[in-house]
Amino acid sequence: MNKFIKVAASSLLVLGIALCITTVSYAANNANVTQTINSGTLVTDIRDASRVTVASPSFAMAGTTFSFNCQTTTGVIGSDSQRLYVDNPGAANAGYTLTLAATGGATSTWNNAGTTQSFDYNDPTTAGCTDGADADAKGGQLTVNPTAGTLTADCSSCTLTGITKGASTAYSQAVTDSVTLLTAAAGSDDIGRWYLTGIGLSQTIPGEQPNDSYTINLTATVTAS
Amino acid sequence: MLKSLLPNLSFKSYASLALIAIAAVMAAPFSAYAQSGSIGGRPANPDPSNTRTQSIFVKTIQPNESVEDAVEIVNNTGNKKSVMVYATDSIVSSGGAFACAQAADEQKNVGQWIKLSQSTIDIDANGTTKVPFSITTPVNAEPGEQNGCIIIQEQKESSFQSGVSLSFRTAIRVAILIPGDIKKEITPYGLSIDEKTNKIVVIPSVKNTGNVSVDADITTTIKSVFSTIQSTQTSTYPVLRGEVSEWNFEMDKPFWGGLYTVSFNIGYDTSNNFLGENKDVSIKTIEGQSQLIFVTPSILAFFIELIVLAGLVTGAYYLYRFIVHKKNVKTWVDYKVKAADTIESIALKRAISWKILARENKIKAPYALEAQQIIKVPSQLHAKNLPLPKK
Repeated sequence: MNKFIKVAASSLLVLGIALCITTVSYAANNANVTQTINSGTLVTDIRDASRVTVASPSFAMAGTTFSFNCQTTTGVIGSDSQRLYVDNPGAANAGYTLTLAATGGATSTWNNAGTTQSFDYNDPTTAGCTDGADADAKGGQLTVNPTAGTLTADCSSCTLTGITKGASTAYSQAVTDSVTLLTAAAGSDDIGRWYLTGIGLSQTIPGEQPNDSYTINLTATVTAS
Repeated sequence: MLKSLLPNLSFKSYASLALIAIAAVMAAPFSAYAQSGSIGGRPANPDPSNTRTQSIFVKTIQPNESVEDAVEIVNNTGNKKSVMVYATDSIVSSGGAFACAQAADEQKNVGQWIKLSQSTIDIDANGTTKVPFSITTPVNAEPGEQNGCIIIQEQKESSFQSGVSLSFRTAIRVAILIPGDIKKEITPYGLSIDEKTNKIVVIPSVKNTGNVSVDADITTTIKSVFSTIQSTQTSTYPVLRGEVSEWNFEMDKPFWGGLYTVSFNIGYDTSNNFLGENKDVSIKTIEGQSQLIFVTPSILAFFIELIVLAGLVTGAYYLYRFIVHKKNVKTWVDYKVKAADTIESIALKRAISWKILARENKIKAPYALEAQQIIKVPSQLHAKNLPLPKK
């Protein structure tokens, strides 16, 4: 019986090795092995330090306390565990841009869970402290500072040459609805993977804004030039 | 036969090896999917003669005319995905960069001209699919370049999360040339400079005064006051029609600091080539603005410069003393010290500091003189013309 099991185990081992071998391609004497690697697609997303996509990334702003006066809170997009990635696997051969805009468009606002309270992200009046000439009746302004961030090349062959971080910019309805995070020139690497961390955020909150948790949806768009 | 080929191992060893081998074989196909990825897309039918069409749509369309094409959507993930595909107008992002409007925005231009055959599709893991679309230009389409986007975005349920919630999308630029009176022109617009700790950020800006976008070669240069190039960078960026574009060139800071000239120039193809075309290229180069700046040296350079400066000052001092000494040797006369003389009394009579007298005669402390000793002193004539020295 024991001998039978030994032979069975040996057979399984040989079968396993044979199966392993079949998953690897070897060039034979009488066959040409060809392989085509197609270019991939330009993509952006948030990944952790192991490059695994984070399904629902969010970035908290620093907590503040109710105030009768206008105040500013700050935050950061991109950390070591939530890196803003751009992959260009030969897809954009004349550069690309990475931009950030409010998903709901220029009339978006910061909202609480029940959307009963809100404040603006793109009202430039008195630097966001009061409601101004834009379409809604809310004050508040969000500034995004990509230059404060760190851009890192994340592949053995790619460099930072030709890639520039955008300038610190505040959203302003119908004037600046999108902020440029990165601009890659035509001469930047056609094949590369990069990530941004530490993009600065600064939001002015109008005075007497009720205490609550607020959120805003932003969309990062990568576009081949 | 089989037994003779295998080493003499225990039953447990054989069983373990067999299990490991089977596990390795079973895991092999799945490990390929354990990768990050996202949803992307590209033009389905690129023009082989224009490599630019591999990444963006480039079309020349007469007013009131339709063209058809397709976008290839790629699921780079190991899971089946539901994907939204839609068209938007282009907008200008900060710094004059190309961007795409949001789905929530009203589409008034190219975003309205594009009609996709599907708006949502399910794509298998690592699968691709083609979505046909048509572009129909209006009768009154203005000559020149019009831009829009085809957006590919994963469909996701949103949930409330305090702070900034991020979504992602990939956009493919759709550049349409409406033939007619085409003007291709860009001009330098400005130059600003921001000095950082280790870098100089040179920010040239350029204005597109034409009606088509221009791929501009922007070259920024830092030169010393002797016109030697310290640092230079060239990059090619699109400048959208009617817009001002600017870029942050992070350049190496000159190590030694000092005065430098920062300048930029623009080169672009003035021929009728549209995006990616390369026929009869005619490059025009325009000088942009320049600025004279003072750059602070690096810490190491500062200390080196300090040491060199101290050395120069010391050298100059000793050189001065050497020249004075040589002069004194030529003009001073011998004087025989008398018994009552001290160095101070002789110096007073000759209207000179006793310290100089001691130094020129190499008399060391306690500056004692001996009678009959011969020392060099200024002549009487010289002494008469000089004021009395301070004691």
